[in-house]
Amino acid sequence: MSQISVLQEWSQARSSLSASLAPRAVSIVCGKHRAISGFHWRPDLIVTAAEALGGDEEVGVLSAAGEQRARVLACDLTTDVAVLQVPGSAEPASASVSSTPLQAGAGVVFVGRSRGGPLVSFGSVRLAGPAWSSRRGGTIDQRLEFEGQLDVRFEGALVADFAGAAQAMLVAGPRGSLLGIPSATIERIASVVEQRGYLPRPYLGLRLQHLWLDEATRTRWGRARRTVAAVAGVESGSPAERAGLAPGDLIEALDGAPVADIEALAARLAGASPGRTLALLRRRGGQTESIAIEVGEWRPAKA
Amino acid sequence: MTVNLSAQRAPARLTSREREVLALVATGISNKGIARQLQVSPNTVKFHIAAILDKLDAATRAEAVAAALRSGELSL
Repeated sequence: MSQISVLQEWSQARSSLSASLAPRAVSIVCGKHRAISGFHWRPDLIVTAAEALGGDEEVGVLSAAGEQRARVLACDLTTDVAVLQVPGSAEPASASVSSTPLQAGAGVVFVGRSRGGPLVSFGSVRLAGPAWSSRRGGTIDQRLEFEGQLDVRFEGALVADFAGAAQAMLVAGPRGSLLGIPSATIERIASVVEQRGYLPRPYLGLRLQHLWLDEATRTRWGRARRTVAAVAGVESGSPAERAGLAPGDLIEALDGAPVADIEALAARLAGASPGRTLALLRRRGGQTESIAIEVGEWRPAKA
Repeated sequence: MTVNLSAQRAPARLTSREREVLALVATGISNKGIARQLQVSPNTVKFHIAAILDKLDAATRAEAVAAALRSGELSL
């Protein structure tokens, strides 16, 4: 008897948690037959998985309140965060965002939506690690991997903790793994998009290639890895040119932290706002020197 | 000081049009936005993107951007 009531309570708790989160979840129709999930981050802003949008400019968004068109304001391929705007939505009060980071083993709920209604699945945190740089050149504020089984309709779904607070966005990782893009990363992007209406791409004007150092040089230069980003070209009129960078220069560090390779440099740059001045450690002719470089904003005319 | 050039396989070269398209893809603007910018049709943009993914052996647009940054085809 008491066992039955424990199970009923457990089931009740799960469904009421799901019901409280479901109004935030939306279904996003991209292409002709594909639908993924997304969720309200602000009353008028929705976040979803950038890569899955496939370059669409406008998408259909199906929420608890009905269907409407949404404009894609930003699609950040480096973090996989896309931000959409829905017109005058009086939708679900924006997210309560958790300030307590997830720990390995913690329970989470994935909430998305399909045409048929809310999609819910329960899982747990398999890995909760420190910030990392994605291979795509983005900085992700916490490494999150989840245990659970999901289909593609959950791509872009909300990941919430059992207190009902938003913790991450769910995206498919390599080999069917489930990755989370943490709230801090989403907020970093959403707040810029909210202020500016788009996401500026920080720009230096450098074409780079990797050099592989020999072991003796690596040791002498005190580098952790054998790769180093080398300047192959400098665009005219670019911040890099103004800073005096030239082909052949090696980039060893940015703002005091060593830069292992081009991806790491791209990730660090992605987190810097245009207008900021960074200290770049440049090696030229056996000498290292710290030079100041102001982050520019990429303009299509530079293509 | 010994510095060896990397012996990575040289990827197929992108055409200058493909580089333009990829630079725009990297900024996250839509296919339609790219089409307006370059004054071509959205289908032409999709065609270029398919060719870029093929040349760079990339499964996604993000991978293509990362690969082009690594090979110095795209500026940072």
